[in-house]
Amino acid sequence: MAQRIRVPGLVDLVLVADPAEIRAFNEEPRLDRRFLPRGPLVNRLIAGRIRRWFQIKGQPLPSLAARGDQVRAERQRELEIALDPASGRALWSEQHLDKLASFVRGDGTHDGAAIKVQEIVGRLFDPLYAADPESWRAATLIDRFREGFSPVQIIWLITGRLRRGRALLVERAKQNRWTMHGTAIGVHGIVAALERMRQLRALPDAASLGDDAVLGRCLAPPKQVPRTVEAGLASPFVAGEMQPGALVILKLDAAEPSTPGAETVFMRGHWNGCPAWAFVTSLLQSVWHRSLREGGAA
Amino acid sequence: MAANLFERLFAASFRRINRWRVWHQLPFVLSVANLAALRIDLRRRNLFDTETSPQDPPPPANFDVRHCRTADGSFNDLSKPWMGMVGTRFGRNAPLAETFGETPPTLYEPNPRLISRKLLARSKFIEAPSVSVLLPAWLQFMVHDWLSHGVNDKVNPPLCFPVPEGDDWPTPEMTIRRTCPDSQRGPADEGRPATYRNTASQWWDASQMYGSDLGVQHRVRSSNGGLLPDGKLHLDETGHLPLDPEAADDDPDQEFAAVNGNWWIGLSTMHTLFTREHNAVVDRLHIEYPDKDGEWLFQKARLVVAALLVKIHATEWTPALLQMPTLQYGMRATWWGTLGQAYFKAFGRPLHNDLLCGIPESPQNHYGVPYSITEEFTAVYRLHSLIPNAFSFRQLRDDEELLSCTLEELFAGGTTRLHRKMPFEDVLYSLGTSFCGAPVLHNYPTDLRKLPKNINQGIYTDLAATDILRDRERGVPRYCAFRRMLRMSVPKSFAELTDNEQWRRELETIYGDVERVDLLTGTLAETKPPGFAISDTAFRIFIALAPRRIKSDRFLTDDYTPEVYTPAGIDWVEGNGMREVLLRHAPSLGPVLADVRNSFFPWPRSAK
Repeated sequence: MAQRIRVPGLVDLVLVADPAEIRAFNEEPRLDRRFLPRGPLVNRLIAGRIRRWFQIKGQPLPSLAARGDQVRAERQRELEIALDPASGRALWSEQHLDKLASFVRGDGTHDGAAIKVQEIVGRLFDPLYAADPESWRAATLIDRFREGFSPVQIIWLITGRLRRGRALLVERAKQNRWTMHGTAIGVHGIVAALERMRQLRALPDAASLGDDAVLGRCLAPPKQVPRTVEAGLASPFVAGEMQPGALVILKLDAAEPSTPGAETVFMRGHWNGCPAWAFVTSLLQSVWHRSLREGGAA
Repeated sequence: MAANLFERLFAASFRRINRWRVWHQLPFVLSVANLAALRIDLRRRNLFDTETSPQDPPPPANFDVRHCRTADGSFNDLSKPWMGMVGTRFGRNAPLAETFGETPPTLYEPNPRLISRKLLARSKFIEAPSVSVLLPAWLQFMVHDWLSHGVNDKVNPPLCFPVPEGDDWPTPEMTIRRTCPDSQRGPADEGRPATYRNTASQWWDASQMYGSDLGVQHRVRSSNGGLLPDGKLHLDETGHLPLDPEAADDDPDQEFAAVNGNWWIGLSTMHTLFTREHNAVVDRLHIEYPDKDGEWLFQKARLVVAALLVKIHATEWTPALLQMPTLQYGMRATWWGTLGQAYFKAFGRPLHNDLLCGIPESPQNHYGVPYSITEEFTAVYRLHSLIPNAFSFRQLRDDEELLSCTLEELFAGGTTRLHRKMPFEDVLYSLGTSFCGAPVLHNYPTDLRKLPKNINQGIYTDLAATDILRDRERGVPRYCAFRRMLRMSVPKSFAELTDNEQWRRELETIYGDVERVDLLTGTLAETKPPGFAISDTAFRIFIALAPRRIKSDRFLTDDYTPEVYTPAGIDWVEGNGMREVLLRHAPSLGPVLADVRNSFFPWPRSAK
């Protein structure tokens, strides 16, 4: 049963952590990613924050674009083909792989590996994409901002740190929404997976783990994704009818222990499936194999 | 999964307390509360469903699913009729990403046969002086109700590893068939760990006696090819189980029961006792409802016997296994609530609240995860060490020994040959007065480490090595990882694992790294809480699953009512226990049982 936080006129949030309920809500056509300014006060603030910070030239980032957005849907299909390693396109270089494998074996720093990942992701869209400590710090800031409110964010807003970070990423992405999504948001899933992989690699039985086991234990879903209620909706999972403007938060990280794998992490098989799933899983597998092949036991 | 804010705070506060003191070191009241907190925590964080696309079965024709248990366990939960039925998947207590099965080389490291010989093999029988052989007999009787992985895989190549040098095993390599894989995996299972299906009904429904399909159920109710019209189960003219018409040619004395694999005298005794009990319940119901037909009597008697087994397990068997005041109170509260048995006898269950009045009659609750037996539960119930190597059969009258047998002589058809030689009362008396083994290292029954599978071809099975390999194969986390996923303290060295210095050295020699210790060896070596026959690690799974098996079952919660069971049926369950069952079917045990507080404690011997 989903948890509902509701104070009339102030807030109406539905938190969903059950895998089956997440699946059902995700496919519910009356839930979407429109983020219009309506509903109780806090809901309006959240929707406004999403509209303000996660758009480029008035267009939302693809992971926050509406279900019926044809441009998003079309580009999603194109990217799924373009980002499939089976297409024959080189999606990363040997040097990238070496660097990441070295990190998994226990060498190098988190930020060093993260910058490489940001570079790999950026170059999927722009061969000249340049990642550096500054761009990674900006991406980290955006990610922390995206995950939910905390008082320190007021300081980021007052000092302009958040604005500058976002501007930097938009500039590096050359105002491309998909590049921006990949290098500011999507990149964190891969970095988190590499962190987990590094811990796994340190285990004495690392060499005997199968690919599925490695991916199952490394892949990390986004913490949560928001949806807005577009039309009155009664659900067996929520107490009371939900009105337009109510926000539904799908808590993917809470559901992950029950449903590891592509469906939760990439929403694979759903309308909003991540087009980079083949790229990400293939990259991680390659890094894992390389880390085992070189350097012997950790 | 679901827990309200109060429960979360309650569980969180005990998590803090447990950092400096574990639950059994706390004063009585606090330790009881701590157990409740652990159960909340385990329900919320250690129940995982493995089903991805379960299919609802069609409703059985001409069968009242509302008031009777179906043969296959379907329609227990009327909103999810597939839940718990035969052929559904085992669930998990470990997060799914941590349950990928091990693969070579670590699958075979350390060598399971080496562990069997050096750590598990029994050199001298270590007895558990506080419980009798009826305890392991009951345990296996229950396990056959709850779970079975079915026949092992005959298609894929078996697991195979070399036998260590100097071993007397007849072949240079040991081969063990894999667990039968799940044949119904679909696209939604892609990237997920292997799953296995339970070939028994997962409910606590006495399916070991009544079968998990209608065909077997009809066979146990039939004599000479015809269904018994009175609703009884078939016993031969001596009151024993009939011979299995499909028994192997080399062992025609095998007794017949719905589940008669791994048959030994303990299982035979329990099946015989409770088959007689079923027939006694039928007789009682027939007196009360003379116009009801045999089918109705059978179904009601089944409900009654299944509930009686649950009650005995919760209020007698488990307190015998875990002899600590906190557990005595806690386990009995499962059935009678914290208000206790005396309150129940005076006032019944005025509130449908499991905390105050016990789980029966309280609302059914799956805690957000469809009910199933878990692989981890299967793993911690590997308690073969409880079984002795040898048995002395003595007569009740004067305790004189009539027969002395090895365990191997009491396998399969050996039980029938024993029953032919001595009365049932004497068999019960002999088992009830014999100590069972202690579940510790170096106490695995010798005969189970070289089980003849096909003597003519020289094929044997080492059950101890198989136990080790099964957990690895099925992705049950090893000992330290297992404790970690239960949020228990994890030993950093062998010295922290066990107080026994010799075991420390032996474990270190075999494993090298404490993280590599298998779940089975770790739980057998672990220093146990006072009064416990099993480890605290295994106990955590018990407290998660034991109440859940009752709380999830409609026939033990919402529908544990006189309307479903009949008033006489409810009275039978509430008015009887193991002692009453024993005395009904072996009245001459009366003097022996007169001063026995718990029927699973060793009984006093008759005077010579």
